[in-house]
Amino acid sequence: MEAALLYLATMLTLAGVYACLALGLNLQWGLTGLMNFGGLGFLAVGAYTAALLTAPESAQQSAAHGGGFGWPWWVAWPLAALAGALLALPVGAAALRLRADYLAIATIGIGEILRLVVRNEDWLTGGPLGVPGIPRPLESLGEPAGQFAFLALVLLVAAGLYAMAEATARSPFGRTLRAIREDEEAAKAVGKNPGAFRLAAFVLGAGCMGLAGAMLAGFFKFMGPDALDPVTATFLVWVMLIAGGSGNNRGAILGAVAVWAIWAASDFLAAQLPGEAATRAAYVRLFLIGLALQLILLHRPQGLLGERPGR
Amino acid sequence: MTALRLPRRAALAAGAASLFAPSLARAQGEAIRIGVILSATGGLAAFVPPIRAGIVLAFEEMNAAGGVLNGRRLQMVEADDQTNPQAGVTVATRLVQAENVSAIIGPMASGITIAVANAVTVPAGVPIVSPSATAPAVSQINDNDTVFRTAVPDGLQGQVLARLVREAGIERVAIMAINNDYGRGLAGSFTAAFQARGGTVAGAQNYEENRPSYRAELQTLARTGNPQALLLIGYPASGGNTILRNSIENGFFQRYIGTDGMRDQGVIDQIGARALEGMFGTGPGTAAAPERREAYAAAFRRANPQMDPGAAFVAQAYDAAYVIGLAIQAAGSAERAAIRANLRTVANGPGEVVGPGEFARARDLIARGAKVNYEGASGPVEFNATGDAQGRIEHWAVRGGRLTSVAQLSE
Repeated sequence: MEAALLYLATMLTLAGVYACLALGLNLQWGLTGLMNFGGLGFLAVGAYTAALLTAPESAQQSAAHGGGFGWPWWVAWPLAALAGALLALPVGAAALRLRADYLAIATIGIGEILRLVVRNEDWLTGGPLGVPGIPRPLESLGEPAGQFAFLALVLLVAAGLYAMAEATARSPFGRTLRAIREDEEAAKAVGKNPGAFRLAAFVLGAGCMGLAGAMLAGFFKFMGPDALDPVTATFLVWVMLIAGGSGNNRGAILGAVAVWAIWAASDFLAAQLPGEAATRAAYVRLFLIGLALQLILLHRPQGLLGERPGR
Repeated sequence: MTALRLPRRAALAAGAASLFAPSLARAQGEAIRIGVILSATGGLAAFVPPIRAGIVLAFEEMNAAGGVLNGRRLQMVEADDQTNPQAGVTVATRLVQAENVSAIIGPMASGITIAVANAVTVPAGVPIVSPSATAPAVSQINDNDTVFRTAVPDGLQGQVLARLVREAGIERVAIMAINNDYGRGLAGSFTAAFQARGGTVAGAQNYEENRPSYRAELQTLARTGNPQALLLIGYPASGGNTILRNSIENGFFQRYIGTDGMRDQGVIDQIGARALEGMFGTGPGTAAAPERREAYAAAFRRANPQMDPGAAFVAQAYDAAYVIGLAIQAAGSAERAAIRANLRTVANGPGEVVGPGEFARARDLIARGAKVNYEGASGPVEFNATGDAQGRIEHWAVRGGRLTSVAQLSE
């Protein structure tokens, strides 16, 4: 019983991290219409910032990376969010002048560049060996309690980001973002500077992704380039946001939880299949996610929860 | 003909026995669940089918011999880590927390093994035995003695390879190594040993997987320091074959050296035997006595006529399943801590030597209070203080278009 609860806690923790990623993407795409396919890059920067700052000093001998400062997580996590935002600043300044589809290509490129940087700059990131031994916040509470406490922490962060995202969406700032998304010329005509607003939304969303990366690094207690997989770090988040309903923060969270539940349940179900079929089913999982996205796009393009009309 | 018929009859008998086994198992207690984490999708997927078959074979043999602990069956609970550490941690969590497995075989990749151990299995105290994690870093995990491997660490392979290359009269090599923990680690240990023997590494490149062409890297290497041969550390499907093809088409290198990742007859069949004639390299070896190896190989071929019992890490996977089964029997319990404490007891000497396919005899010995020492299909399987098996490195070469095993070396 306790084991099943622990498993549920693990799944919910990951769903919470994905909810933060989806909220960040919703700020960029849902609210402002910025097609960011480089979520992986911002996640990576946040993850490595937190990993290098919190990893214990003793780890420096076994794995050669530039970190190992042993800082507490509550210092490192905000810095991870800041690192994601800081990366978004020059990237956004350069790339946001591009129109939607070109921006998508530029952000994919940035995500890939960061993946290669992480893999090759051994002095900083430990290269392909990654950063092992990252402490997980609150794990000193012992095995079952620590895991539930970490879950609570992740949910708290997700709730905080949700509150922030809701406040943003309701504020005049959020209304301006929507106005720019719907009609840039009209927004200009009433004296708004679309470039500055778009950059602000891009940076804010990237900060959320950086924070999510920090939580991921803490949860896995390991960060390496193989863990930065575009399928799970970028595209799964898009599926979540589109399924849940872009433009709606609750939709982003619902999408994250629902898609993650399907992802986890399909792994669970595949394992019940006999023998060889179990290994083949692994490919079917990817297919199922794609199929779900197609069906949603065809039959409910606004997602499970569509965007509510602005007030 | 009789020789052919006998195993078939034995197989029939085993099949008939397994018909009765379920009811027996129910009578004697529920099945013992053993987790198996393999990279069924992703970069290592090509290695999985024979490795999985090896594990299945070991479990089937032990179950057909009556199972462990008075007739309890060993049941595989499988998971796919997608060759991704995060996915590995997620599925390991499922195995440990939801499926309540007693021990885990796998994961295959070193990076995933480290991640899974740190995040899941060490805190939970679950013993894991990887058949193929070869990076030296796996020995350094602060693991409370829960992480074992039947694979031989790359440090030894690098040393043996360096010696073989020098003995082949080659002084200057260029290295193409896959850019991950495996490629970098093995390239590093080879370079150190090769230089210590007076060789020169003319140039080294870490290559990214799945590129359409590697001509630029190969050209740079071929023009730097006049290398006599190319050492290729990688996997066939994710770039290794392309590198060989590019190099042969452009005449960059005339001699090739490989490692365990490229030890595959399929490479020779696809690239062409003529161009690769004389290629040699190292791989996970077997120190098994020939009759033990043959017992395993014959059983494997009977169960899987299409697959090669000598494929990379298959014997290691088979042995991993066997030592776990024996440890459960010796411990008299499927508790995680008890298995962990008994892995060395059954794998290391001294003790009555038992081999592949001899589970029933081992169980009888344990029942009589004797200590057993499993000598497996891949080697004697002696776990040292850090849980690494002390095995052998195979010297292989391409001769007449066939991948041929030349020798089994220990240093």
